[in-house]
Amino acid sequence: MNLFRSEEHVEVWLAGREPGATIAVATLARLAFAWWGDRLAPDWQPHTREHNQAILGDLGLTGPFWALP
Amino acid sequence: MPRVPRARVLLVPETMPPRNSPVVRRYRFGRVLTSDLGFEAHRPPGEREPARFRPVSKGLPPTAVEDGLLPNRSSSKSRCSACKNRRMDPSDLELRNRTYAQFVELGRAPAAEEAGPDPAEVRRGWQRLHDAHALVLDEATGAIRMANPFSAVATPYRVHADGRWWYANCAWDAFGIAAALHCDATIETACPDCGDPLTIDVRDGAPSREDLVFHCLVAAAHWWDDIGFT
Repeated sequence: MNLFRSEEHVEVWLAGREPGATIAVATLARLAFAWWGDRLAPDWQPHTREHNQAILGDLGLTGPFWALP
Repeated sequence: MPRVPRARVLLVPETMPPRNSPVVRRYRFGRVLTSDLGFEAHRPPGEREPARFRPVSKGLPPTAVEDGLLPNRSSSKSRCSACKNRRMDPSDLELRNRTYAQFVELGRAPAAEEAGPDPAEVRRGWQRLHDAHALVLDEATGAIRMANPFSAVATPYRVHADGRWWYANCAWDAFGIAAALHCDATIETACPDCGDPLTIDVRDGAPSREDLVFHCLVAAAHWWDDIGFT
């Protein structure tokens, strides 16, 4: 899970490997704040799978690649 | 009390390794140490040291051996089971929250001796939390390797937030540190392809630049098959 200068840099880095998913850094930031924002809360509880899947879905991260186990 | 945004720490680009340097090549294989990137020499006077972490994989703590608490190399199947079953024992939840609070307070992962009066019981609890994906233990020593989004070992993702440096496990976690601490941050890393330094400020949850992209190589269903690789 890395940051790259551009999609072209991702393609070179992959060197023929099957690509995963590439998203804008602004989307990543929104994802991170939704996913990790409560991590240090004194009353923290584990996220359910459904909760996390909804976070992904709300950002348009849908489809088989983003399907949690 | 709301947190006061910290001053941005400027990087000196010349400290970054040139393209195709040994450091960059090692980075492409995921083994670079950020100390190699030259950031250390440019910490402003008075800035707190980045979190110092106990070495990993350098022998087994006698107590871990005696207690038989070495983490299991869990199969992907069992990890998937953990993904679905999120219930956690209240005492484990309390240990987890205490461990995270100590990580932030200390600026590093706490040792078992610091996390509770009975280190053996702490290690047993950490193992259960590891199995539940609530944190990640070093397979050789049983020490904490990840308290996501924080990393207890050096990584290519350094985050300046809340007055000190942290290591993040990946790009996602780098933003996650700002999210978890509820503060602004500055992320330093390098493009895994070309090695060029990348600096991103995070202000009010938004990145300072939109020209970068995030690539996730592993599908979500397999993130926990090998979380270190993911």
